Amino acid sequence: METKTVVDPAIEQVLAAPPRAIPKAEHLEPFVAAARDVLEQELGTEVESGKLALVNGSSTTNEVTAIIGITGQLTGMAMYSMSEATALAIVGQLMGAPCDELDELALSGIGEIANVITGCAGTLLAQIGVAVDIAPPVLLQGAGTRMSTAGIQRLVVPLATTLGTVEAQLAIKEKR
Amino acid sequence: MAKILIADDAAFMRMRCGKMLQSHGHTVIEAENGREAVDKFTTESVDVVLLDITMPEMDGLTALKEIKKLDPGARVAMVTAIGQQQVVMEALQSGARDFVVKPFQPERVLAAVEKLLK
Repeated sequence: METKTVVDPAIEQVLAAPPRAIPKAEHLEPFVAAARDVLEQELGTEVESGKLALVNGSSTTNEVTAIIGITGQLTGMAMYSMSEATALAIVGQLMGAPCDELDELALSGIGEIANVITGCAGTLLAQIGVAVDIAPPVLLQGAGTRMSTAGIQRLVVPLATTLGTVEAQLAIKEKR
Repeated sequence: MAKILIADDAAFMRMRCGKMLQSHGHTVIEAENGREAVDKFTTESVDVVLLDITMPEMDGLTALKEIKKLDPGARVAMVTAIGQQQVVMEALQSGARDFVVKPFQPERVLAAVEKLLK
């Protein structure tokens, strides 16, 4: 005899509209603060945060993007995107000499900046009782790649420096 | 001066730190991850080890413990962006003698090396 599974209407409603993970402000602020502080210290220049935005859906990458995975009480990723010219300028500033080519070493420099910003954010989060770990950086080179953070809203923060703008995007949610 | 092993997955950091240490007369050896750091510690006579924490294959805390098993007197400092108190405590309890948090001023790393060499 065939039996039909009866699903409670309340469950059906949840399944029909999966919750979108909305990051908490207290979890986002350490990343913004860390990005500003690290860039100021490493680049020796003032950094101005532009208008913050919470966005859904996909975005396309700029010419250079560093991605840092985040695990622990928060899961997701931090992404730092910039033009090639800005990346070269940043690496040149860090090296103390002009950088003309975005070779492996230069990309590594961008990855390291992303690593330091996200690590510092992790330290700030720990101070408010939120423990996270970070993964080694992944570097993407080439503009126009479509990226989606599937169901997790992203905080987008443009950080204006004298060397160009670094756009930080943060897609995190609390681990259940 | 001293032979210093720098373990960091970022080639840029190894270069930057290495240049700074070489300019102060030290010899520098590099490792890309914790596994390589342990291997090179075994084969080279290093005086000081500077370990990043977030590295592929073997992270810096694990490498620290492996190095201390090989030589309990090994002179190791962590140089990392991970500055959480529990991580600092774990590193110090595992035998690291100093903990430098990135971003750092070059003088801070030099001071850590000098402290280790005493």
